[in-house]
Amino acid sequence: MRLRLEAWNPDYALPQVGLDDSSSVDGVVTDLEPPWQPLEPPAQEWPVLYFVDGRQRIDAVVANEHGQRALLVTLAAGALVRDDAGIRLAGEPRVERVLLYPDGHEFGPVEIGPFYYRPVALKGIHDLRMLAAKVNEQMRTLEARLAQELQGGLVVLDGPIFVAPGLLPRPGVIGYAKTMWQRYLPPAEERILSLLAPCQRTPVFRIPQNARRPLELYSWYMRLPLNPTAPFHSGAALLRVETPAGDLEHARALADLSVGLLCGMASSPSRDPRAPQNLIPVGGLELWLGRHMGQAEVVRRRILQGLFS
Amino acid sequence: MKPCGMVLGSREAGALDFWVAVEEGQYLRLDDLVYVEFQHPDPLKGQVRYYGMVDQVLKLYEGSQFDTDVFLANRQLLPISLSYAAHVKVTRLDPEEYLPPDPGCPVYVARERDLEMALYYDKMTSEGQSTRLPAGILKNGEVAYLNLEFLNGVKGGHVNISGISGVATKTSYATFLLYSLFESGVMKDSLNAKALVFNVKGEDLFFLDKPNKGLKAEDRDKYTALGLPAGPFRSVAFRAPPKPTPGDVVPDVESRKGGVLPFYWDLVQFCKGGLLPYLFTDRGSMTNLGFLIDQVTERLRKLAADQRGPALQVEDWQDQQSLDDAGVTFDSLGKMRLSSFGQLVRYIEFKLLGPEGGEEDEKRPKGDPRWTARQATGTLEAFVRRLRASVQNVEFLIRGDKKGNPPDPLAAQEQVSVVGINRLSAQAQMFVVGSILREVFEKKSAGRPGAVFIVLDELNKYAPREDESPIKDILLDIAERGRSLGVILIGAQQTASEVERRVVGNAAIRVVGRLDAAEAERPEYRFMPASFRDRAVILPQGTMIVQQPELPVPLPLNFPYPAWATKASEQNLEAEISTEALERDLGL
Repeated sequence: MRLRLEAWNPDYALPQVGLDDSSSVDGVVTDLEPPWQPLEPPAQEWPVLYFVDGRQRIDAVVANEHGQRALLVTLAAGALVRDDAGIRLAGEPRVERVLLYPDGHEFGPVEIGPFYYRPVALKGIHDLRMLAAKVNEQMRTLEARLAQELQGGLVVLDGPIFVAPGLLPRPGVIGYAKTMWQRYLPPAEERILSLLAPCQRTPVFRIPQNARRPLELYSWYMRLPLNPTAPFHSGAALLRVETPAGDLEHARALADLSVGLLCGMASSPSRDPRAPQNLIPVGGLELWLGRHMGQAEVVRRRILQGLFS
Repeated sequence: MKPCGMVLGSREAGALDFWVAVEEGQYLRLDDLVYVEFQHPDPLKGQVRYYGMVDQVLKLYEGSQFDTDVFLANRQLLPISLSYAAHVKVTRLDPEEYLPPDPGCPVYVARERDLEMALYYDKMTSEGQSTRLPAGILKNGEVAYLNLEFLNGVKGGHVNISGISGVATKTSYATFLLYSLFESGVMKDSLNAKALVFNVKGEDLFFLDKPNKGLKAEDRDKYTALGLPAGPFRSVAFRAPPKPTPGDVVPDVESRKGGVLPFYWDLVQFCKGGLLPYLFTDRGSMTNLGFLIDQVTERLRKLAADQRGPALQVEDWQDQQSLDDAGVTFDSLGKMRLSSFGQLVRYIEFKLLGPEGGEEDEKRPKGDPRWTARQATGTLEAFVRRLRASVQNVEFLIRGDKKGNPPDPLAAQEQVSVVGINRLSAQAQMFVVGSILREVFEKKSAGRPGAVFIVLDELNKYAPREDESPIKDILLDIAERGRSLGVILIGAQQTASEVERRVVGNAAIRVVGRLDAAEAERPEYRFMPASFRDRAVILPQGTMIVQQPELPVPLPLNFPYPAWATKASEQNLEAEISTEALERDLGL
């Protein structure tokens, strides 16, 4: 038996978890860009780009006198801008500290030294694990709000497009899924994925809105360059890109642009454990955000001091 | 004033050194002077201010994990954050409270008064008068000063300059220092001060009194900034040995046509002055040689005691060779006149070994027992051998045919005496330098007023670390006692490691030009911080590193292009055809 590697370091989220033939999403439309075969778009000039990403960290788990638990969480979101003048931070990163607790429990704001944890009550939470799962949503909301404020250009979101409550996605935005939790294509069409060469994409297909995400999307798969190729299995370099559904021609143009863009920014396994999908600028942005969040040990020590002084 | 940065917090900040993060749009260079101010923890003590000098500057991409990140940043794929940090070595604390500065304290570039504080210029006064001697120009354009009191002997004396020849411009800097001493007006009795400059190589120093026509406007500006006139030395005497052809007293100088006087000693001066030891450089090579040299020197002194010269008269010898060569030279009293150094040597040989043709096998010498001092024949013969070998080297310098005319920088009318020894053999150089220095030192010991500055290159030859020599003794005397007598040595050498430790060690002011990489590692240069030693290897011409006692860090500085010519082609001929110059050169 011949084995091949998954490109991601297993310490991170595993990339493709659809181990069995889990069913694909219903209502996906694949005949928007016939014929159904790999496309290799020509290279294009890049417009002004924004990269938006966020980071999250659970600083501490706290309990009130009734033994009810809550999370002290630090969230950060920031954006990079890349234009003729180079690549740099677009403004200051947003850093928010929130106290997440199940609705109905008794928690107020927590102020420790320079940190102010804003209480956020969440509905329908039964245990701590569910509470922790909501942290990501909070971060994506912060990212979405930041993306909304960026003027012009094309926004590249690290992750699928998130529909924050009361916030419609801005025009000129693409998101991408680095991990393939969900299968979208019917089995016949899905075979195209193994035929994709690096820097090729599938035709655009449409994903209907559903309960989890009330937004209709155009989406396409593409294969990032991965060097060396030999040790990794064929699914290792796939990326699914999406943009809110609208004008199809516009979506096709975006799809063509995205191939050159994302392939040009794909990271190498020698420097990033989540290569190639974790884009180089995003890796840099994450480092910056980390610095603005403060060192985990230091923050934790300040919380200790603040709570017991 | 806008701060240039802040004390950074990612590295330790100490009371003696700290790091500064340089703000965007600002810059700090090596050698820049800065200060940081912060509140003393005790509110009663007020503000503490640290002055310091930048001795390291670094830039890097912060948070960049891989060397190849730079390519990604260049392709505008990776956002980077440039860190620009400078390490500051504290030179002064005000008040003297050894506290670490807080990270985040603003750091300012020290200018004007702050710069003076940082470099202790405010301390350079004596009895209400400034003792700031211009020594060059700092990288930031400000004037670098030396404290005159460490140069003129009040608190310290002597300068030692090291550096590779040709690149390090040792002589140029030494002459610049002299010029500054005489022209800056800082030295109160500069009119009484004299200088003795030995021209060791080429004839570079034979044009000190001529303006340099290659001097550019920007060089003149530098002189103006230093508060010095941009001109040649005003009062210089040039002395050179005569040409070595017999009977010749024309000074042996190639490039300078007029205004050079020859110098030589006559036999009586040689004997009276006790200059014989300066012909022997290997005094220590035989046990009794030194003793015999002293004995003969003493006999010669006695012999010449009542004579006037230039020839030396002896009663007890007939020079058969001279009689054969040139006929009779007995005078009326039946005395023999020795009129050349060769004759003197033959006379000494006679006194030590007896007449030629004596019995070969005899053990005891036939010489005059008052001269031989009971030394074995071997020692006597070794002595004579050495003396004979020296005849060719020095006979035109020690002569009986003309009244002696040795350089006497203390008695000279001119302020600076340049003595050319460049065309002399090594032995003759030793003799000239030793004889003149001895004379100067003796006169100063006897209390003659006014400081005298002696510029001597190739100290490694005259005061080597290993060997013994009479001239080394003189230099040691000057180094150890000269400062209180007003004899200041401005010595130079390629490698301080080869010079007697006490000669270098007694210099209050140390100067380093370009050094050989291996030399820079030697302990003689440990007075400089490591970064300066690294830099000494790549110093360009005209840049020197100067260390003075009051300042904990050396000062890297430039000095201006000489305003005086350093070769014939640089002379400003227009200025030369003046009545004054003609009169001087023709001796009218």
